[in-house]
Amino acid sequence: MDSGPGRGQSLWRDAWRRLRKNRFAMGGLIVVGLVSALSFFAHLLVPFEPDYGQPWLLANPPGFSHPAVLAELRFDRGEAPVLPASIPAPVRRSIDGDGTLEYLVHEYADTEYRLKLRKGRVESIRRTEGAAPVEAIRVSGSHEFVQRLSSGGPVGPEIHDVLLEGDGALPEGLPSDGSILMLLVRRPRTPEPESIRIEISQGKVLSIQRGGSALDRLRLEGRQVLRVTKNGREGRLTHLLGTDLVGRDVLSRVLYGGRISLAVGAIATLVTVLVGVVYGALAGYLARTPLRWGGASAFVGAGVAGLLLGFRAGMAAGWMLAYAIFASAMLALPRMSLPLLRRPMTTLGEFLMRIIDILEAIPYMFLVILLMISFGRDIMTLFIALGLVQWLTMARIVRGQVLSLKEKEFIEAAEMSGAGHAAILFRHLIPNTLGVVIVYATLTVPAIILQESFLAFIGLTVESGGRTLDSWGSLVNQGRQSLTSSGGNWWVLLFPSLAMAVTLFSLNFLGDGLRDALDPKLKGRS
Amino acid sequence: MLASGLGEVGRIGGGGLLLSAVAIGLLAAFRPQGRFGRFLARPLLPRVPLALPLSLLLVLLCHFATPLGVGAASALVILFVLWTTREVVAQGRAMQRYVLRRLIGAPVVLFVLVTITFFLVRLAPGGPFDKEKRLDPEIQELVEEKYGLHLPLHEQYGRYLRDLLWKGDLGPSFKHKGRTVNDIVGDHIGPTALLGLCALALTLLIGISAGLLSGLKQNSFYDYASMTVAMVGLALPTFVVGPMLVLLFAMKLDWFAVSGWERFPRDLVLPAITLALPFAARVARLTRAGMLEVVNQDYIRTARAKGLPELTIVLRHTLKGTLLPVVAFLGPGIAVMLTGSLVVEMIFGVPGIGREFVESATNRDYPVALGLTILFGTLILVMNLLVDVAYAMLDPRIRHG
Repeated sequence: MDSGPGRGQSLWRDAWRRLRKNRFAMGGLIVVGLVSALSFFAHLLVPFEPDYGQPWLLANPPGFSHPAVLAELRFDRGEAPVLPASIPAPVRRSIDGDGTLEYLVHEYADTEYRLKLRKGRVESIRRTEGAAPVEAIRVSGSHEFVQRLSSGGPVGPEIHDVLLEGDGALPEGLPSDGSILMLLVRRPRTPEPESIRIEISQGKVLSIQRGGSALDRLRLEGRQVLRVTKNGREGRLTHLLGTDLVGRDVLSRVLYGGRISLAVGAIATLVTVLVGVVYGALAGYLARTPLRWGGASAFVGAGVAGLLLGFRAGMAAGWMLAYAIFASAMLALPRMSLPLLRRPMTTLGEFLMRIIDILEAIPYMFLVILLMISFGRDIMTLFIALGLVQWLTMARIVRGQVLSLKEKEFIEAAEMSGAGHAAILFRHLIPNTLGVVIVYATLTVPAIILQESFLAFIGLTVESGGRTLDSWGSLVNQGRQSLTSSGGNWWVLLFPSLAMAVTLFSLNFLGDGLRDALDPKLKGRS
Repeated sequence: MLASGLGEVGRIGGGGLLLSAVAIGLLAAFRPQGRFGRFLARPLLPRVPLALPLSLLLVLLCHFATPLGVGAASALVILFVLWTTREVVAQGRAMQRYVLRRLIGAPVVLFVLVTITFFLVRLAPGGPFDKEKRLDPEIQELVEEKYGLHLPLHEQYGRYLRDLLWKGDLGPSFKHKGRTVNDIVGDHIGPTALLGLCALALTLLIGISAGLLSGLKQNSFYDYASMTVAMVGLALPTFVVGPMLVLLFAMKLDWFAVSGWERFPRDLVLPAITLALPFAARVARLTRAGMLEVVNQDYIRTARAKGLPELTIVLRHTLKGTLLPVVAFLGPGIAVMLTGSLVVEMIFGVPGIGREFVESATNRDYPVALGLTILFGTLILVMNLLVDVAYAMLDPRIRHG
C-alpha cells in the first residue's frame, strides 16, 4: 500500500487506481464500452435494419456494394413515390426530394430447375414449373447462376461457364451427395441495359421516360437495377461485413444482435444480484437464529403451494400469494403451542443454505431449456430462467461475506445504538458486500451472455411480442448453416463469432481485473 | 444399443455385480488380514489419476467390439466400487458419515429434480397437443387416454414416479410413434458415451500434461503459450469453436468430414477436440496452480534432498497434491460437458442423445425432453457423488470440515 500517511483513500479510489495499472483489465473495459456503445447506437451507425432483407442479393462478401434500391419500386405520374416505412436511409435519400432520378436496368428471366444428384453425377434435370424434363443446362459467362439446396439450406456462390447434363459429372462447388438441388438460372432478356429517367418535382413524379417513350406508371424490381443516379450522383449501398443468405446486412445484424445479447446479460445479472444478495444476506444474518419444525414445514409448504398456484394462476400472482401465506405462517406457526412444531430443527441460515445445496445439484441448463419449451420463448421467461441459474453462487458469496462482517465491531456498535434488523441488514451489511458483488456480477454477465447464446444456438431464440430477437448465438448458428461445403459464405459465421469472442474475452479480463483490484488477496487464484 | 441390448439380464446382473462388489469391499475393510483385505490394501491411490485416462482409452479401443468395451467399462466401475467401499469403511467414522450423508442426499435431489421437471412440463400453459392442428374431440380424447393425460395431475405424477422407480420407464414419446423414451435413450446413448469418454480422455491427457509442464517451467515461453491457449479455450464457447474448426479443417483444408458419424477415428477427432477444449483448458490451469502450490512445500524439498530423480518426484510426490483441484473440478465438469455435447452433437451430426434432446426441445416432444433431463440429471448426480467421495478420500480436510 503506497497511500501516504494522512491522506486517507477510500476503498473505491484505491481499487480504481489498481485497476488502472492492470493493462488487460483496462483493455477489457475499453472494448466492452466500445462494443456496448456500438450496439446501443446501432440505429445511428448502420442504415440497415437487422431484419431488412434484400433477397435478390443473396450472400455477398465483406465490402460488397450495390445500387441503392428497394426490392420493388413503383412510380405513378402525378403522385408521390410510395415508400415502405423502414428502408435504408441512402435509398430514401435517393428517392425523396426533387431532382432527376436515373435507373440503368436490365431485364432478367428466371428459370428454376430441379436436379437430382446421385454419387457425384446428375441423375435428372427438370424444370420446376411444369416438371418438364430438360436435357442440359448451359450456363455461360453472361448468365447468372444461382444454386440453392432444396432443404432451404445454403445458396451458393454464383458459378459461371458450366454445362450440366443428364448423367453428366457435377462441376466444382456443388454438393455431391445424393440430394436434390434447386437451381435458379438468371438470364438477361435484352442484350443491352436500358436507361430510365424520372423527374420529381415538389415530391410528385413529373414524368417517366423509358427508351425515348413517356410512361404513366413504372414498376421496377430491385434486382434489375444496375445503377441508380440522382442528379448525376450515383447512389450505392455498401455492406461493410457483407450480406447473409437473404441479403441482410451482416454488420447491422451483429450490432443489433449485440444489443440483445448485452441487454439480456445485463438484465439477467440484475435479477441475479437482487435475488442473490438478499437471499445470501439473510442466510448469513440468520445463521444463528433457530428454526423450529413449524417454520420449516411452513416454508416448504408455502414453496410447494406457490409452485402449484403459480402455475395455475399466472406466475407472479401465485407466488406473491404463496409468500404472503408463507410469511404469516412463519409468524404464526412457531407461536402455536404445539410442542412438535416448536422443537428447533436447525438454524434459519443453515436451512436456507440446504435449499441452495439441493438447487445447486440440479442440472440447470436442461431445466432452463425445459422452461423455455413449456413456457414459450418470451424474453421475460428467459430473464427469470437465467436469473434462477445464477443467483445461487451469488447468494453463497454474499453469505460468506455477511458471516464475517457480522462479527465486526461496527455491527456491534450499530446494534448498541438501537438499529433494527432491517437497518443493520440494508444499511450496514449489504453495502459492505458491494465490492464482491460487483466483481461477481461482472463475471456473471459473460456467463449469462454465453447461456443465452447457447439457447439461441440450439434454436431457442428469444421472442418479444411475437418477433424473434436474434442474438449473437442465433447469428452464429445461422452462419454455421449458411456455410457451403467448400467453406463459402464464411463471413456470415466469422463476424458474429468474432464479436462474441472479443466481448466475452474483455468481460472476463475486466472481471478478473476488478477482482484483483477490489480484493488483492485473491490475486492469482483461478 | 447398449441399454436395450443389455435389457433385463444386464440390469439384474449388473446390480448383482455391484452389490457383490460392495460386499467384498466391506469384507476387505472389516478383515484387513483376509484374502480380499490384503488384495485391496495395496496402494492404488497414487495410480488412479494415471490409470484413469489409460483405462478410458482402453474402453475406446474396445468400442468396436461392443461386448468387450462394455465389459471393460463395467470392470472399471466394479473395481472403483470395490475399492471405494473398502476405503470408505477403513477410513473411519467421519468418512462413513460423510459418504452416508451424500448417499442419502442424492435421492432427495433426484426427487426434487423429477418433481420440478414433471410439474414444469405438465402445468405449462397449453397441453402438449394444443399447438398442433385442432384434433377431433374424439381423437383428442383417445390420444389423451393413451398417454394417460385424462387423469388428474397428481395421479399422472404418481404413475410417472411409479413407472420410473419400478421399471425405469420414462414413458412414451409424443412425436416418434410407438417409441418410448427408453428406446430413444438406448439407440442414441452409444455415440454420446463414446464422444464423452474420448473427450474426457483427451481432457485429462492434454490438460494434466500441459499443466504439469507449465507448472514445472513457470514463466517460460512454453508456460505463457499454453496458458494463452487455455485462456482462449476457456473464454470461447463450444458453439463458436466447433463451427470454426469445421470451417478451417473440414471445409478449407479438407482433412475431416464436415459432419457425420461413419468412419471412426476420423469422424471422432473434431467433435472430441471441440468438446474437450474448454475442459482441457480448465484442467491445465488447475494443474498448473496446484503444481505451483505444491512445488515449494517442504516434503518436495525433502524428496529433492534425498536425491530422487526429477521424474519420480513429479509422478510420485507432487502429482497427488496437484490433482486435488482437478478431481474436484471433474464433478461439475461432467455437467458442463453434457451440456456441451448438445451443441457438439448438433454441429457435427453425431447421432447421440444430446441431439435427440435438442430435437425434442424444438419439436416440443415433452416426454422425451423430460425423460432426458432426468437422465442427464441422474448422470450428473451420480458422477458428482463419485467425485465427491473420491475427493474426500484424497483430501481429509473435506470430511472433517
